[in-house]
Amino acid sequence: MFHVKQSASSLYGDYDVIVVGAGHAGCEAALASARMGAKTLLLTMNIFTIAQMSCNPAIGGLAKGHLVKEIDALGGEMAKVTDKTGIQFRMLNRSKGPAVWSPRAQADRLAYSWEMRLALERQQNLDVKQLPAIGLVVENGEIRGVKVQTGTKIFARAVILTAGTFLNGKIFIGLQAIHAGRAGEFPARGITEDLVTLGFEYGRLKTGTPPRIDGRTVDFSKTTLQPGDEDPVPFSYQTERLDVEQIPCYLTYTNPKTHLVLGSGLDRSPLYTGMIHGVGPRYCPSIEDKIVRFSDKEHHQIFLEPEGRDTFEMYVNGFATSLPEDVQIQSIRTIPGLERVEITRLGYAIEYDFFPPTQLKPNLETKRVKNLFFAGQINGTSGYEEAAAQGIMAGINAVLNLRNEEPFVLDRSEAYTGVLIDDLVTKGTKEPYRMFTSRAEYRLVLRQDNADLRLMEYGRKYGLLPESAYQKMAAKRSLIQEVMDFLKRKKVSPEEINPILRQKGSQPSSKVDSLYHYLKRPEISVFDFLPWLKAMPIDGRIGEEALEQVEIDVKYEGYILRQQEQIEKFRRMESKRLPEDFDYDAIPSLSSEGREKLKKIRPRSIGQASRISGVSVSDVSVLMVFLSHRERRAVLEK
Amino acid sequence: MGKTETISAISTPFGMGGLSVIRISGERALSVSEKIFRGKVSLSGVPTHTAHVGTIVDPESGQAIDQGVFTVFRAPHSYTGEDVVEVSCHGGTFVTQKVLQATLQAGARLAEPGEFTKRAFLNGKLDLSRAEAVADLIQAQTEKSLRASYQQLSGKLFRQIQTVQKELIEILGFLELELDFSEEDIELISREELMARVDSIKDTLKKWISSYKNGRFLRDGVKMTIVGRPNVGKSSLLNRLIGSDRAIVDATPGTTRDAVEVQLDIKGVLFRIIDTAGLRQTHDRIEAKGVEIAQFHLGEADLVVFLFDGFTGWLPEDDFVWKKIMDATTKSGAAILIVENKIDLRKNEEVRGIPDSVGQVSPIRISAKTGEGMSSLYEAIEKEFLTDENLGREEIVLTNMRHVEAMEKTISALEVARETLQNGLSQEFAAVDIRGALTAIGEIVGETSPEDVLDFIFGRFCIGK
Repeated sequence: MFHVKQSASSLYGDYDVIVVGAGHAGCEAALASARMGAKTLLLTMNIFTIAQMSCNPAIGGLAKGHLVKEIDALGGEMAKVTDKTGIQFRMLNRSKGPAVWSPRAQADRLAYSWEMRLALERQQNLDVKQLPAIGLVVENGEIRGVKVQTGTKIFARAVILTAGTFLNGKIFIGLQAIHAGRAGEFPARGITEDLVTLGFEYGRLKTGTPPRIDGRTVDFSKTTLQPGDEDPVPFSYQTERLDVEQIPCYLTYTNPKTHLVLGSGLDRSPLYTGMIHGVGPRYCPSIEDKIVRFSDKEHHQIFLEPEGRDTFEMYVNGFATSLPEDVQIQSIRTIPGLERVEITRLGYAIEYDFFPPTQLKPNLETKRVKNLFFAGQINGTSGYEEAAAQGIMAGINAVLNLRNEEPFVLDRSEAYTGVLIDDLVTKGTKEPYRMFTSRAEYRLVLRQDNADLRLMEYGRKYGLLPESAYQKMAAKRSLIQEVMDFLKRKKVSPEEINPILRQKGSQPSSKVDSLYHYLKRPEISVFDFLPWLKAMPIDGRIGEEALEQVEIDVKYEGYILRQQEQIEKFRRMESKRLPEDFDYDAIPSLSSEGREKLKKIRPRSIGQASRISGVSVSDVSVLMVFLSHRERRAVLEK
Repeated sequence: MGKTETISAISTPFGMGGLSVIRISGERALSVSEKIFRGKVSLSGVPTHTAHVGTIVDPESGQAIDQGVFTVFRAPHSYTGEDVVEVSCHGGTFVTQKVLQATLQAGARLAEPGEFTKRAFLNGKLDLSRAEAVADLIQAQTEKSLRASYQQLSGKLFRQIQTVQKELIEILGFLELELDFSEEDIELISREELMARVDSIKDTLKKWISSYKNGRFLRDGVKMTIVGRPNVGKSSLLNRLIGSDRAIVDATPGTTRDAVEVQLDIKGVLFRIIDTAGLRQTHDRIEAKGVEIAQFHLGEADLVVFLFDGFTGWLPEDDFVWKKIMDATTKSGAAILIVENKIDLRKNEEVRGIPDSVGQVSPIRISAKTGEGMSSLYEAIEKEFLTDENLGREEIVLTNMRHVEAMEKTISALEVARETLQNGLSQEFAAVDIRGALTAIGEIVGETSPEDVLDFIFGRFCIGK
């Protein structure tokens, strides 16, 4: 659908969009771009490691599960592939309120990769090639394409970099350092260098991964079984039902002896000897970091997670380490159940380049180079889900740019994806950024159960979501309204309601009142009202989900309404848009720190400006005055 | 421009001039004014650009604060372009602050520095060329207000509020811990303990807010009223205190018909001393007015100096005055000093001392004429009144209404959070209002971000697989 400008002819033909890197960000970016009709090329260094789960073989989890549901509602792939290749499913935080429930699945690492590869291969407009990119082609501040290892240039009108941990990646096992993007894989060189030449700032981050072991050498009798949910819930709104045989995980613990052995290796730790300069994530410390920082803690949880259905290999969750191999082997064998364990792959730390994401616009396009987009770990995030969420947004926005359409920016009240990107481009990050529900100030309305209601309109608008999925959501939405109206309208007599109330241990009623009124009681569920609701289409998954929404809306109405009010206030500030060419130097009364930050971040709205650290409340007031000045002048000049 | 909050602030220079103006602007300016106005009309019905006399009342207790004039300007014909009410009241920091506080209780919020002008500009009331000037004003006023605010916060208070902020971050941290890290192997604290911690913060804040009353002495001075029946030497005492002949002193009873106010520094504290007309039952209309004024000042006083004539002794007229003092001070809680004057005059006969109905007290004995005994009066003022507790020296002293407002907001958010915890709802619901509390307290000592909460969690707990 696009006409590629022939700036030079290429051996591989020209593309609208090239995505560099086929990890979780790259796959979603490429699929989104191709689904929107753009001729897309996905470049990978190794076609056998597409959508590789470099660390633990699991998708979702607290706050991350929300992201997966959002990607799905937008028309992404991650949830569907997880449903197809999952080996254990759990809904976390079930004992808490609905806003913090979060789905998590163990996935089969190889099956996941192959399933995603298949999805890419099946996608129209999308080519996947194993060609390492080694540089960028930029002309006049605009991206033109990429240079690959063979020296060939491939041209495109937009490029999305999703390089993961590969940019100048360096892995550490003890005092040994190896240049690698992942254990056993080449690092990517050249791209950082090109970007630095273009004036980009970069930094180093670090992360780590635990050893993998042979499951046949584990004595499971000394561990605790961790089964999946009995009634597993699928991730994707498009998965009708999950029909999987679930495989359990196992729990064991470290002990003081483990810690003693680990401690003996600290003098050969790349972390403690200063070999690693990159900043690691505090929420995902290595086991040596845990025993040093929390020396009074005698036990640490260790989860043994299967790597897949067709392998005996297991992932030792909780035991990330970059200690030398002898220490890894000796320490792991002090853990109950692992006394005779064989390590198949050693744990390691990896250090890699990232580009502080304050260099991006809210559409994930770089400020320096037009139509160059970054997504995933290159932006300083960690996690497959965080990467995938950025990937789909970058893919959509690259195409919107080419069409000269308004960027697609989700705000903080719409989605975790919005929170994620806003945090990155407004505040940057000092450590690998991970999503937490506490980062979302409008958490009560950003639930995993309503991602479809929140985002499917967008998925449909941009052409990513199949119409059938959208129609299901639309049916659910109108059913919610219908049931809600009915509950408010339907008055029941004490004779009618009291048997139910008594059965649920609820105070009997003495007057006629609406069902809605009774639903407010904590002990009463909307499912207690089924006899009255029979006339409505409440059967099946849509019905069940709709009733759940009604229940949440009624039970937590007070809190949700208050949150809605906050959101309204927030949106008023977000809607005051600051033009990209706004001249902050022409406003003398800005504080000097505020001005510097504003010039650097170039916020999209007054709301975003107010979230930049160093921009004071009075700076924001001053901005509003000048914004209004500019608008009024524009009106007068017309 | 969408829904705007209604703001209010004192718009006349601080502590100057005989009249003060409190300006209220925003959609609810009229309804806010209505709540503090008692007059012949209903303000919401009056036309624009009209002035209305009435009593300014506390919207909660209904108690009168002052007489005032309410001038109504309807949108868009006002300074800000919104509905505006300007309340003129009698000057003086104390009354003015009270009126401002009443507007806040009635639903306005304290205006940010330069906010009226900013609104005027945004609503197109100011010329485009003024943009820069408006921006400068906002910056300048913010700086001034911040400077004042920090000056008013002693280093100690600032640190203590920061401690409260830190404690709130911890509470939020504990809530978030159970939400974002529920899969971790960590010890959590019980709901009871969380509630106890919320309560303890609430108590601390309440104590600080009550110190606002005491802190007032340092900020606004102490109002000291000298009362007594006619001709006991009140004006002489005043003159002795200030060392000049300012009040009219005449031996004819009832000379000081109006109240006379002078200001005096005692031990670094400003005393606003009011010499009143002699209190007695009277039929003289002019004198009666003076008596009425005296009674008013008695009710307003922080410290009452009751003077009786030692030469004549305690007379039945003194009983009358004493009763008036008792009536006024049981409500206000003012301190009372009983002073016997004219000890320089030799007594011819045995006179009546302080009656038992007043209590077993020995008066402070002075002669305003010769100055004898004045040092013991100063001592008594110092000992009885300038206590650390009264001045808030040993504890926290809040002197800034903005700080008080922020703390009140913090407390009400904490109250909601506590109820949520009490009702057994999941942590994310309580977290909403703990965050609200953090935002409010952040208005005094600076904002916090979700990162601060995560910092606490990662610093305290071993998180991560």
